Amino acid sequence: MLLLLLACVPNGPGALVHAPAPDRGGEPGALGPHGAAWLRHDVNARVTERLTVEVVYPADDAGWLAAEDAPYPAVALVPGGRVPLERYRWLAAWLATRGYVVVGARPALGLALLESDDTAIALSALERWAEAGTLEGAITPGEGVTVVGHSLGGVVATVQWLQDPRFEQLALLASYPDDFSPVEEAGGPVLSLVGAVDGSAPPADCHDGWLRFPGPGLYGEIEGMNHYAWTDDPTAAELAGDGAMQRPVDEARVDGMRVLDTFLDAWQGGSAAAMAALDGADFPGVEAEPR
Amino acid sequence: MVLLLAAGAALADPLALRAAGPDLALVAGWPRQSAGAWLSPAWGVAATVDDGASAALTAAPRVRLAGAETGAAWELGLAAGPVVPWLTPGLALELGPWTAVRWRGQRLAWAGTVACPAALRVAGPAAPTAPELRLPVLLGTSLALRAGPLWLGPQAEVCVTLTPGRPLSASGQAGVVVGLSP
Repeated sequence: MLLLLLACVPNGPGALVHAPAPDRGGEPGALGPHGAAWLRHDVNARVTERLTVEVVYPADDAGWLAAEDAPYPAVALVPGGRVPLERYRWLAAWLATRGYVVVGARPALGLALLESDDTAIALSALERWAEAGTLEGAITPGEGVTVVGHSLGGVVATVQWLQDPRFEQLALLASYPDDFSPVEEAGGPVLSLVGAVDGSAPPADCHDGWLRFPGPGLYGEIEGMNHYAWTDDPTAAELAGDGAMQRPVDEARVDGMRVLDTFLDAWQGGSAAAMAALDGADFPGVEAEPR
Repeated sequence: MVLLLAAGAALADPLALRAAGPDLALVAGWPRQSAGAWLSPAWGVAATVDDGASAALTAAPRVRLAGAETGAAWELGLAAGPVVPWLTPGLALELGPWTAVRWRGQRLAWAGTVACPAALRVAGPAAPTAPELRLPVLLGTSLALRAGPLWLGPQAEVCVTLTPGRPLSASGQAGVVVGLSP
């Protein structure tokens, strides 16, 4: 029975993305002191189907869970349409160095929209894996989670946030809710970030979408950033339909991540300073509108 | 337990039994692969693997509501029993009615099918919603050409799955049917 149980959890160590660096301060907009590593494992979804789940977590220099500071808050990540989850690993690893466990699902056809409960299934898997094995104690099952979605993944993230009470906060990256999701009836915190030169999710549409949410949150337009700067290795076809970056990708990402870090620290980390920073909405390189 | 699992694999979604034409069929497809045989006009058996994630052996009765062995026919079938998911080990019970409109000639056969192989997980880890119930509706079609005793042709299905308490999901199935008729 023990062997059967162990066969059903991901086996470490994970692949290291960042080594730990205690001298990294972990202020918003910068990597934190932890290392970051990732693991991938398959589970059954919807009783019979296969779903691949990836977890990026705070790690030591050998790729094992940095257990001394566990449990960590969890973040769920929903990829954009036809964008592989690994193209967001930079983002997940960034958050992991700052003390978050990030879980995501890899939809079979690359379209999270077709299987919009995959993220909830992936979170359930992570909750099980936190009970034994490599990721034992990584998170506290049942504790509130932030769901982050990019582009079409933001539409799916919104659906998940509305339907699954485990998802307490929502962060939309270059995205806005579909017309059919009753977001006007939800009261949780929502962050919406979009590049000012996004050619796929126009900032005006993202702003209008954010205004539909009645709860607290923040809307921010990141200077000179386009749609696919949120992903690694954009294809020529993707870039052809996008706006042109007006500054280095890394620079724009730092400005965007500073806001996301602050949002997570405020709502999941319980940081009063981060909450005050959200209220002040004074973020370099971001035109921000708080609520 | 082994007997339970073996029995559990019986009577699940019989993909190969929905193929047009052959009495003995092998479906090489994605995400599911299936092999099945009609042992008599009223009883078939099949084995189906879903994307390497779960497996089932099927025994399924059917009744012909109209038509005959050749030419046009309308049939109703029912598959029922446990399924074995093994990536997240457990046991599920399945009840899968289907209906098919078929046409079978000397060298060509076609089938259009609607199947609802509902599955309820009764053992294993908790899902986001418990109990985990899978309510799919599959619309399928297959075509087969005959050369001697051999049949060959494509089979495709589209699937919408309702899992109560969670959003709808959609998937597809595409494969090639290789079959044999005496």
